[in-house]
Amino acid sequence: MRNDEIAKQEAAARELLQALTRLSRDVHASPDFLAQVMARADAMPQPRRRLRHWLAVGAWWPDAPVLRWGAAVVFFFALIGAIPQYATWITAYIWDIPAATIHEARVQHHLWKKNFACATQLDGNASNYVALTNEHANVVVWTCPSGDVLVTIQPLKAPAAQRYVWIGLEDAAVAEQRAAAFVSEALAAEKSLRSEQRAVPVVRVLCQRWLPKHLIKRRVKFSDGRCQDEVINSRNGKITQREEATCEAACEWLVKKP
Amino acid sequence: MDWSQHKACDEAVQREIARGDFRRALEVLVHGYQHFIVSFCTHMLGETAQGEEVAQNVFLAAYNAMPAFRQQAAVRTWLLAIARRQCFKALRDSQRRRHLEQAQRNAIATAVHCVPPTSPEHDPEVQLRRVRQSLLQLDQEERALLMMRYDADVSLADIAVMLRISPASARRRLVRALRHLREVLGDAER
Repeated sequence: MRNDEIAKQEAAARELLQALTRLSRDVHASPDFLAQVMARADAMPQPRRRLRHWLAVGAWWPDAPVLRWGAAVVFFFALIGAIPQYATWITAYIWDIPAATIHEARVQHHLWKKNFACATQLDGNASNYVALTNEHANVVVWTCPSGDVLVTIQPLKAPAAQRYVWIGLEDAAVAEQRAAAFVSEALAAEKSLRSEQRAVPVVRVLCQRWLPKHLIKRRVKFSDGRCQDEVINSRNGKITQREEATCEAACEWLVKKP
Repeated sequence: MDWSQHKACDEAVQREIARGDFRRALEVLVHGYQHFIVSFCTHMLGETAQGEEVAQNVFLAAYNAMPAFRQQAAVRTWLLAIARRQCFKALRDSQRRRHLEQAQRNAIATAVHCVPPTSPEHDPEVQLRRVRQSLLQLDQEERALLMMRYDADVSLADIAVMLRISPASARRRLVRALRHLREVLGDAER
């Protein structure tokens, strides 16, 4: 349809169009029209500018319909594409760990499940048990038949900050990261560690079981003869609960629901 | 209609909306556009009383929509888009539809009986009356389109944006509406 078609029609209906342009002159609002509208407006709640309005009238939103649709499509795919990131954030919030450590938490949980029986057999007299101590921390290294290694780190100045970290042979990246982090922080004095093997805190695990929400409850025996029940978060290796206990190997919570 | 006089009104409305004083913006808007919107609604609905009632709804709808008003948009085009929606809504109302049908019947009767074919074709008042009556016999979309284009002097490009159609489609619809109006008036070229 070309513009000259409109021109043709308009030329043929010139008088009609002249009349059309005068339509709005022959009807007028009543004298109190303004007052009526304002009275009705005053009876309504005052409109407020909300976040969606700021987004809708934003200067960045293009005027041209094609560009607006284009921007909407790009925006839509950006939202869809970011769903894995949202999932990560939500998971991190639920698990109460930093979002960057989600993968690591999954690996740690997997290694706990995989080596659960091995972790229960921890024994200070076994050949695959190594205990190291320096002025900063006690470190117990327990190697499982799978090749995975459970490292227990207990800072001497803050025993409550004790942590369990698995170093899995299958996940070289995590193993390297873990080793780098903990060796550099807790085992800084490597030389003295290797030369000084002293008394270590944990020498045996008397009993161990899974609790809901990825928690592990275990009773451990220390080298000084004390025993303690502790609850470990399998995702971050932190001890969430700890209490003194008798050194009985028949733990009552193995059969009773805690 | 001379739209240049509305420029100051449009600027004042945009300024008040930008400031967030929506009540003041409504006051300016009603003051500037009341006659035009009442006329538009009256011609769309066919009755003055209903036209005025719907025109009030138009301004109140505009008041509620002010927070979302895009400053780049022309006030007149924005207001007309709201008026068009409100009029269509009113026309959808079955009661109003019955009123309109009655008005159309009256209009046809008036056109047949009160406007003789021999009346002076070039008399502007006669022509205006005939156009007004003929508009009521058109489809509501065609009626709104003709009034927006010729009475409100909205450009085809703005109409296309308002109706969410392409400019080519807007042109086609306008030509069809013009042809239809001429047919109703008995002026179409055969």
